[in-house]
Amino acid sequence: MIYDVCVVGSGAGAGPIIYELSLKGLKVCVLEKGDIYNEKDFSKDELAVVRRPIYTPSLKDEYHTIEELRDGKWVKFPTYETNWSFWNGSLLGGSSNFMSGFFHRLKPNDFKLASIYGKIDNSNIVDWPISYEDLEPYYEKVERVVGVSGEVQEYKNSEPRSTKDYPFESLKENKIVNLIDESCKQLGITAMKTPRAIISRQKDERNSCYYSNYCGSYACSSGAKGSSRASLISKALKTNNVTIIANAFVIKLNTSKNKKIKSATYLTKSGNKKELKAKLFVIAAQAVETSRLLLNSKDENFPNGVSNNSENVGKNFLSSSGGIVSGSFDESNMPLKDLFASGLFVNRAILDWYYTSKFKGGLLELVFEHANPIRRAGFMRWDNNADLILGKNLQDKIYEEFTKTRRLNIEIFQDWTPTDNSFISVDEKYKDKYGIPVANIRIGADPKDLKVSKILEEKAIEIFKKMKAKDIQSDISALPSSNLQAGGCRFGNNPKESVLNKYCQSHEVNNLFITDGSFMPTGGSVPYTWTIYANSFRIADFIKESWEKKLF
Amino acid sequence: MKRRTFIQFSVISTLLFTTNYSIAKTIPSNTIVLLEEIFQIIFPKTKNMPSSTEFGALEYLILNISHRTFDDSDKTFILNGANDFLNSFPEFFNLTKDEKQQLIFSIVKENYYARSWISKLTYYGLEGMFSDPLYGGNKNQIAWKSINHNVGYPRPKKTYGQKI
Repeated sequence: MIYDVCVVGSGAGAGPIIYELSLKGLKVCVLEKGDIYNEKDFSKDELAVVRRPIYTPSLKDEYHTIEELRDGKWVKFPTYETNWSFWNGSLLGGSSNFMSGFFHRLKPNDFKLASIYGKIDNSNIVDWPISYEDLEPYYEKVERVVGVSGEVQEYKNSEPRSTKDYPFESLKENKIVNLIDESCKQLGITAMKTPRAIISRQKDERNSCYYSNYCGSYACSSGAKGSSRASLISKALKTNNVTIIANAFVIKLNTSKNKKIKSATYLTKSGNKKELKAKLFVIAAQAVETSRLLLNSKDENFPNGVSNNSENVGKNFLSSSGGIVSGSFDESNMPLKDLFASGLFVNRAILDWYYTSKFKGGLLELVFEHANPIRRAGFMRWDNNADLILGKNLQDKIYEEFTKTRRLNIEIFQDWTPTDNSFISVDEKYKDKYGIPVANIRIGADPKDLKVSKILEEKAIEIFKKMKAKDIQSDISALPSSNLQAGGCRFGNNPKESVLNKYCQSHEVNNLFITDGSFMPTGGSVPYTWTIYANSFRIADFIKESWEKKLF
Repeated sequence: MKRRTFIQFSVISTLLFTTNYSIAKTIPSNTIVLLEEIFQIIFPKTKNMPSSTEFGALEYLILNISHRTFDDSDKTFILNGANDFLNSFPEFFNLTKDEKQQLIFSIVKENYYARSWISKLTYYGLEGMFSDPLYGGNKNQIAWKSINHNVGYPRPKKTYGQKI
């Protein structure tokens, strides 16, 4: 059988394509690397969800290499040596199942950083080929279709909206927001309510949030979290136009003489090779794996990998992480019954330094440390001198910290500068258990990015001090966060400098689209998911129009 | 029967004669006894917290150490470390409770290998303390209750993310 569309991956970049094209009547086949789960399979099992490779591959079998600058030389090390996993969710819906769901749109100037601030030395900053106005209708569509809860507030750095309110009212909040709001007010800072891709009332077959207490990093058991699986694919399946092949690891895209993709080769769970044919291919395997797939798809038409005759695939990998500042709160700050109230959200973000007059800044997101106890307890076995704490001292520390304190984090999101030192590549020397070259991630960040994080760190500490937080700790670095991936196949108008055109269609391969975060030339100072969803809806519209015109 | 011998026998018999703990039969009995004693030193009973025996640190470890998702190198390190420890301190079982504790507290400060091994046991002991009781530790949610933990719901019905 030849499908109309083959979609590789099923996360936020894939969901809108699967949803829109199946509703349009196209026959869509999804090749998902992981298994199919649904709400009843998910639980708040800390061991299975966040401490063992259940929803991600084992690093012994499938790893990445990280390339770091050490003593002036770039050195590769496999992730199985450090357990620094760059897998985020191999299952239907991908890592959108596990997101915390704090959703921020890009701001209008994020689409034209080069024009606003000029090109930083040694950077590859360019303006996007589209504007905020092009994407705004799709941000709004995500609010309705995926479901975003929140409250619109008047604010200088807020982006324009085409609708007055969010379609879902804000989620319930922990009373610590009163302390945050008051402290920020005294400092002359604006604490904004964070929109979330979690619905606060029932939507079709999805139940509202039930405040499970284990939210970020955990899949949702009510369907309230706007995963691609719960919000889009479940509806798409009802069209009977969607076939999902689970445990299908796509290892190569095969091209025909006319330089179109004719098929995808994938491995089944048992390692058997299979081939799937389609008229159109949409890749959304998350930025690292998408570049890897293209680079590994070498043939006579594309000796450097498919869509890579311009040698741009893999370049300008991005993250938006800047580090975390955390502080401890106890009865001296607020009544413990309020501090420990189960499952309520913090929902506060600070965007006062999103832009400065001289450089692009970032965002501070306030969120409680995840409630699951094993991870937190693990840190308690060390004292400030990195000596091991044992016996009664350990037991007392565990009791005191868990029953009398709660930690609040301020997560820093900043706009990574695209440079030649941050990219995805493959290396024949490093292969997974199937013999497929793994992705190498060079993680050289521009020094400016660390400076911006340090400025934001000072602001976060200032807020914590005003809140009278104790034991304020910082972990600021230029290391990427593995769940914040973008770039590698940037879009643009110049085929010599970009992989995709402004509709995320390959410059070199007419029937190939890439709809995960790979397309972003710069990523904004926010988590990427809302923009990935919105852009994927935009591309779906383009594909539908082009399909009607028989352009593929 | 001396009290010490009786305690050792109790630990081994509890594990060996429980069918679910077949892995225990492949681990030398003195390793099992040693791990139990080390856990008791790391996690003693206190006014507010349960002891390792009460929450089931050893049972958790034995039940899960051979699961495919358990880090192979950690498993090897834990078992080889026990063997190395017994070779280094052959009289350990004959020491008094206080002497054993003093020994462990001192070697983690003086010896990197010992520190790493005890740290690894603490790491997995904490998993046994706070993981869902389905995995064999945190018996009757004793550790969760001790810290008034707000449990996340739904709790798992099956281990390791198996589908329902």
